[in-house]
Amino acid sequence: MNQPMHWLLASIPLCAMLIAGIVWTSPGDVTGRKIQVQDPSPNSEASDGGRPKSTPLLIACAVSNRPLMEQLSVAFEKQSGWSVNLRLGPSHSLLSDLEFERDADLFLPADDWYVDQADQRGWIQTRAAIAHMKPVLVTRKANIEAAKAAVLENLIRGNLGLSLPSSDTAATGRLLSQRLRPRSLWTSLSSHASIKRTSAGEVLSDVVSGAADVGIVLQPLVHAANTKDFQVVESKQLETAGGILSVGILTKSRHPEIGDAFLQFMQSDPAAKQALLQHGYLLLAPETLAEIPSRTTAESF
Amino acid sequence: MTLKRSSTSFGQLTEATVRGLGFVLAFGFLTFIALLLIADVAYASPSAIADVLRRPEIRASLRLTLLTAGVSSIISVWIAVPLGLFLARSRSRLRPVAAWLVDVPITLPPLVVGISLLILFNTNVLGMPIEQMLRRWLGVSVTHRWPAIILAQVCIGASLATRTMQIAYARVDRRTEQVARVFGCSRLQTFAWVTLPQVRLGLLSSASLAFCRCIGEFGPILVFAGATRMQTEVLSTSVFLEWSVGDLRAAVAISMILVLLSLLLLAGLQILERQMGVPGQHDGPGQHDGTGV
Amino acid sequence: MIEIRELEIHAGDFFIKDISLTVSTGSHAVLRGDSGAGKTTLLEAICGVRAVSSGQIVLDDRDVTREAPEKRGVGWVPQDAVLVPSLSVHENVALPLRARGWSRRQMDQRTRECLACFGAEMLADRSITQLSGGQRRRVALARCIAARPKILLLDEPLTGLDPESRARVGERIEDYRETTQATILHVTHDPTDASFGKQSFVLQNGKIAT
Repeated sequence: MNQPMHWLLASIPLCAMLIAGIVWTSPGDVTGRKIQVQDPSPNSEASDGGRPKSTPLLIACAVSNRPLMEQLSVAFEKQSGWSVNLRLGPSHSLLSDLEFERDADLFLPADDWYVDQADQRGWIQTRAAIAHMKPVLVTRKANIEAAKAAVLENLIRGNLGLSLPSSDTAATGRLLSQRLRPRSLWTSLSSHASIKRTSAGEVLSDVVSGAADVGIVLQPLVHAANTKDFQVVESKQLETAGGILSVGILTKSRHPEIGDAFLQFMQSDPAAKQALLQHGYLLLAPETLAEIPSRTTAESF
Repeated sequence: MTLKRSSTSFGQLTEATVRGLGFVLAFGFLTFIALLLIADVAYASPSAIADVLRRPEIRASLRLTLLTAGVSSIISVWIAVPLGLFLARSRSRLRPVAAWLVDVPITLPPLVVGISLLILFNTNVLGMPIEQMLRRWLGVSVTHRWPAIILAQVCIGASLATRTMQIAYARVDRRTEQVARVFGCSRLQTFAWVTLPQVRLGLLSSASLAFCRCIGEFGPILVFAGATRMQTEVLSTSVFLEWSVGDLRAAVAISMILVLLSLLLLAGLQILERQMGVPGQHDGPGQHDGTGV
Repeated sequence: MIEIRELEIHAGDFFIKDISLTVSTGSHAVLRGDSGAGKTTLLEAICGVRAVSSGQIVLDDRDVTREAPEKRGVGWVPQDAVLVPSLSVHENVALPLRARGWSRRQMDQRTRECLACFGAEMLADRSITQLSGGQRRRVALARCIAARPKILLLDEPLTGLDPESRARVGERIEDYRETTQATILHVTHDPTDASFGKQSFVLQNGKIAT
């Protein structure tokens, strides 16, 4: 007779069950924090299951570094027993997130510049450069235009649809706008571009889907994608506009020592080095690898 | 005479044109939507869907999507049941304000909803951000955790559910409620026995509408809950993450999972509606009062 | 006993004013008047579903003017014999009993009894949408007497019935009144129904004329 009332009542336990399901299946759930605050001794919650440590190391990681970081986190977990969680997003939105909630341990944006920004605001305690990345051209399939495109000026003259990362929001775009020589080249390229994207990944998607003929992205990105869909063309002109992959340990990190271990691991572990190369990053010369204390900490201590 | 005839044929011509135009617009749109789906299917083969489903992070994302959308749609309906009633029945001066507030989450750009949530939870109230208060007193973190997903989903889901329930309540004949009161039912009994059963289709459709909207929710979730793998990644964020690294095939494959989910839900809803639509099991309405005393 | 004292009701542009009438206990009074005269409004006010501007409503020596409808304990056949469409015929008739917390067995028995009283026992399992106008009246009447109320307010209860059934249903209403000493106020626009009542009132231009 009053079915709907029964539904509404039945939905209460159903809702509780669903929430229990979420708590059960999400590794570093909300209750983990409670135990952290009230009881510093690690690890007693059920939701952690067979995980090695109570709260995993959380890395705020640019989407473009995802394939590399997924491989590295697995390797690191095997080595140290610490599990690693990745919070993915475009570098700029990760940076805005830090404004409110610095609950991550490490910050690994698409490019050095974002670490600079975080550092200037006093959010970084230690930082280190890991690798070097160079921009490349991506085009649809092999064609004559692709070869021509190796000379950037041809992109302006031809009637190719050009997709570029925006210099305001995309790390790659910013690098190109600052480092491409002659300076006028970027200006004319961007005025010729048929579309500007907020991230290099979107540029790649444009080329893959056929929305654009040519795009410029950082090399690691093309290693992640399925290269059957497009062709990579290296260009001498672009090499000067390379970026640095840097990682920073955040001031509010709950496990700075583990963060540090991860940083060491990325810099010097042979497996990590191999992974970097495999994903299209270029290794830095050994002297640049030194761990740099952050500006703010250097000043205050 | 001739004038009259020509005006008639002109009228017929106009009618034919208008009908033709209506037909083209209506079916043109349907074809267009169908083409969108066909293009997706053509791009991502079933094997691509199987491939993404083999990845543990996508499976976790699918599971989290279903769980959170389930919780959110239930909460949305709980909110919609009293709020829809208020909007449908109240003659209070607060009603227009409430009606406006309900529409805010639907009309705001999704990104703005996310940013507003983020700011709200980090605003100082009584000298401490709400986020920290919750953490200290309840031991619950919201920002960047799964509760953030549910909050973001409920924001928009409850708005939609409330509007649906409001329409459902408005269709209820108020005299049936009056009759129940006169025959001794309290307000609560009247609501449970008379009003609610008459809006059961509204309940169903508001729940499913909220659910569909919740599994597609993206902007606020990305901003407020982030996209932590295995933790706060839902299917719509997965699509975005795949697209951001240029893996269009995987992005489309995950989108197809979303499409399949909503198709399944709609089909299930139609079956349920058909079962409940006509109450009673007997043959057609009696024409005459042939009962006799 | 139904006692109305100087009742005034405003409903938008429509109003009735200065209504006073008394129906003595155990009698059957007929209230007539042109459509739109406010007969239904008056009944609704006695039921408690329409707000009263001033005046008093006294039912069996109890002033119920400000009481909630469910506290008044009246039986009502509303205009158009409104039934709850989401409930079956049986459930509609059982509604007053359910509200009074009757047991299922008692409820079933009484419901069958009331339906049978108005010759509607075979309709029990039907849905409301499958009923004709006359059938709806019978079900509404059955519901009206289910909880054995002492006051019956009937709004055109015989509309839609053929002349023969009219007489029979009318008889059943009278039977109920005689056995329970219930007071009946019966609204109709049909002069032939006036024969039921010992008392007769006419509502004209928002006033009572006897």
